[in-house]
Amino acid sequence: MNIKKIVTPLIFLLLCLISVTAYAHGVDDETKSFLQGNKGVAFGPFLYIGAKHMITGYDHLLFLVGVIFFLYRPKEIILYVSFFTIGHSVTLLLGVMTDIQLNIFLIDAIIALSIVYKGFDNLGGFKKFFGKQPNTKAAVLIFGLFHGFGLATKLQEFNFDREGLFTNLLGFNLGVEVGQFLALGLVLLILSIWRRYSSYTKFANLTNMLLMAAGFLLIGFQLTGYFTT
Amino acid sequence: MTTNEEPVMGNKQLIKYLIISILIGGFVLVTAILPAEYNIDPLGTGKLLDSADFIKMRLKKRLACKMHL
Repeated sequence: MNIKKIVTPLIFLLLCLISVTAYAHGVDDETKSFLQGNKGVAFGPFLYIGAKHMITGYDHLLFLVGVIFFLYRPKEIILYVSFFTIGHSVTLLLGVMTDIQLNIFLIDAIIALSIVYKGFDNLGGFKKFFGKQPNTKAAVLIFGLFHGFGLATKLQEFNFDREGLFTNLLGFNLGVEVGQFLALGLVLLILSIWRRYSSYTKFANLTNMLLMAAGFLLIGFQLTGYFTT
Repeated sequence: MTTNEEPVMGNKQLIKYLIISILIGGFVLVTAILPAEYNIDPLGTGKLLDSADFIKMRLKKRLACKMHL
């Protein structure tokens, strides 16, 4: 094995992890103050914020892990990820531009539900229980819509300047895709290495069960927030 | 390898996995997340974790730094 094959993924991993040390998932204080103080077009900063948001967005990432867990052909991976991307991009833009008012806890709970759904689906749950498997592509697209609303509501928590908003939003959206690309790259890297070992099939069920557990955990977390605030 | 190569498991095992995942999620939620995020501490584990001072010290440090700025 030559050095490049070891070093490159390690550097990649390191770069990804550095961004994760940023505060997870929400919008952290520095971002908050930037967004509130910003006036006009700030494409670059919004792009960075979008990327950071996606890389630290564990609920979005968990869903993606579930989606690509049993996808092996690059075409399929690109296809499913594209459905997710289209879904979340549409509602991100729509949500912020129309200043849609959605309860953040409920949306996040639905996003958590998407994680449970995917884990369950990966275990073949729908085929076993209901005989039918719901159209996975459609499900990814539709859940993608909810993920986008989640992104939008997080961003909406701060009253930012309406001038140049659309441009900034496009930057944010592009950033989200960049973050998604990076995170996905890391996940695919890990998966493709893991897939070479027999432990992959052995632990595939366990992993998807853990995915469901994480989803249930997050559902509980979000619903508690909904009922207590 | 082909796509959609999902491991086949019986109904019983599936239900078992579902229940276990709910239990794991619920356990972590009640012991760690609820106490930490909402101050809801039904099992008193929050107090247990709280007595581990490393989190408190980190928060104190952060606050001190912010004050100095």
